[in-house]
Amino acid sequence: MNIFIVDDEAELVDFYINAVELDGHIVVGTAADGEEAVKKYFELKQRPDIVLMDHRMPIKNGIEATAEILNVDADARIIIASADRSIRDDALMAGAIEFKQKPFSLDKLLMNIIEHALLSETCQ
Amino acid sequence: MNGLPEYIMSEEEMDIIRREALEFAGIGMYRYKFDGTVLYMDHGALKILEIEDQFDSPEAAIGEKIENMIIYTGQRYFLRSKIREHGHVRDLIYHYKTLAGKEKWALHDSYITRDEKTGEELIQVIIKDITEMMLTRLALRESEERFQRLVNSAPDIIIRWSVDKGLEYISPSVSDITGYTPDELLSDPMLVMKLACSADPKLERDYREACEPGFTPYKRELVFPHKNGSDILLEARVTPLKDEKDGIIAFEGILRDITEKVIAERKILGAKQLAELYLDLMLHDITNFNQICLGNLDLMLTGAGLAGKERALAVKARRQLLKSENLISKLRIIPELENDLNNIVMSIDLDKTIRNCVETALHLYPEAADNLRYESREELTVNGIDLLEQAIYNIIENGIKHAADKKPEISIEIKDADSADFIELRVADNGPGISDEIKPEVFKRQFRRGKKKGLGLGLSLSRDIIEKSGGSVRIENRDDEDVSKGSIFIIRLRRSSGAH
Repeated sequence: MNIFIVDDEAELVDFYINAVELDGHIVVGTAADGEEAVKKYFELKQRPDIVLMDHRMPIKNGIEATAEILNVDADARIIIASADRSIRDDALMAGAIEFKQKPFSLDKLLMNIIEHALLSETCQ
Repeated sequence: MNGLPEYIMSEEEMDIIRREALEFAGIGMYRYKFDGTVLYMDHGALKILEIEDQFDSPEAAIGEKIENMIIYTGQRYFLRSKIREHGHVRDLIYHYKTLAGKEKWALHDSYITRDEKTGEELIQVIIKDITEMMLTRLALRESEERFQRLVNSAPDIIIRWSVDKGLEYISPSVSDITGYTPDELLSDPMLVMKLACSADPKLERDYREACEPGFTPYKRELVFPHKNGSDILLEARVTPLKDEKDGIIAFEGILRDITEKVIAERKILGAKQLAELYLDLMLHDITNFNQICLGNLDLMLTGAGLAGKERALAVKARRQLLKSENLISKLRIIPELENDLNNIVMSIDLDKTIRNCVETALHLYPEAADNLRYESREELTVNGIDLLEQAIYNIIENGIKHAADKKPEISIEIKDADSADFIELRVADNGPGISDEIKPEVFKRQFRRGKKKGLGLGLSLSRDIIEKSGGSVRIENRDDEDVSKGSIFIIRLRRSSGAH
């Protein structure tokens, strides 16, 4: 699976990279804010299967970035992860396929990625 | 003229009719000498002076002294001296007491006349009993005085404003509140409006609108300049007074000083917003750090390189991290619960929710693994807000934390309630039990038993969440005979419609 990781916390991005690569997935790119995420997403040669998106970031937040990406690529599969549970409904309304409340265990993260990847394959 | 024979009344008959007419009107007459000797008195006077018991007829009063017929309450011979001075005293309100001690008032019209034979000066008196009117007037005055006392001592400003004349009345409390005395403001009836409009520019427009027909009582906050230069905030409650054509002629109302209240409210709001900001920042940042720690610990534990004591230490660190996150979750719930927009009741899969709770509990408290029992009951949905899982988890965790000998025995089961619309989720523990006196206290925020650690948040949040879900929670003893055998927390929840 190709994963695109968006988070302004560098240490957290490192963990995501280690976690998904350990499970055999490929990190196709990373971004540190919503604006960079939108820009990089459309510059990628190969569209990612899953975008793991933080919400509270500088310049542009995760929900805004999600809406912008989905506006152009309706098939984008974006998981929004945030410590703020109150944004869950807004995240889903913006088109995220899942809202994950931080902190979550490695198991749960990988299981989610696999679930959505399988779902993606089934849909195709 | 009309066919009836002409009837001419005698003087005697006319006199009787006149007397009866006067009596009927509550009017009496008497005449006396300057030394007080009564020469004439009619029935009306006898009745007004209430001396019918002493004198059975007006004639019996003749020759008696007038001062023996009433009890003077004021200056004696006052009327006689006035008549001597002016010859005629009109509309004198005279206060006296009857011989029986009853208070009375009479309106006097008295003048000097002369004895036809001797030429001696006499006093002719016409009196009208006005006792009832005076008592009413006194009662009214007393009522007005009482009202005035209330107005004078009222902490709020009471005001009357005439559309034509400006300020007509303002109560003394205006001095304490604005620094201006009533006299200062009343000496220029437009001053109060000028001052108010200078500090509150929208007031002039609002006042013009208020003078339009159809204006109804209303409440408005307005800024008013205190004499010392500072601004004060008043809450005005105003009622318009209308004329017969529904035109507004005046306003009456109360002005309440809410300056301190508003400042306090703003401070509280500011402090609350600041606290929420700190909490939000703290929770967000700490959670991110916890996520990094938890993720990396998971990565360490996933690999084969960590074994033995090192692995046990990493597992312990991971568990404490999850407990820390659990505590943060509870703190996060407090502001969420206050916002009703976050608390929409929805249909919740109860079985899945309880299984999640059990899974979390076993992650954090592996010592409970052997005796944490749940009888799964699938396909059961209940009404609840999004936080219901946290509410149930807190109750399970409470049982684990208070377990006897640190060996938790928790059983969770779902039972039908007395009403088909509800179910009961029963969480039984082997804690020290909760006596009847303490039961109501357990769900209060910051309640802690003995030297147990913790914030005393969990159960209070559980109750709030359950109640916002439309349910209730109560505690029963596990053993009716022995409270120390543990407790059963019974959570009553409404089944989702169509999900019996």
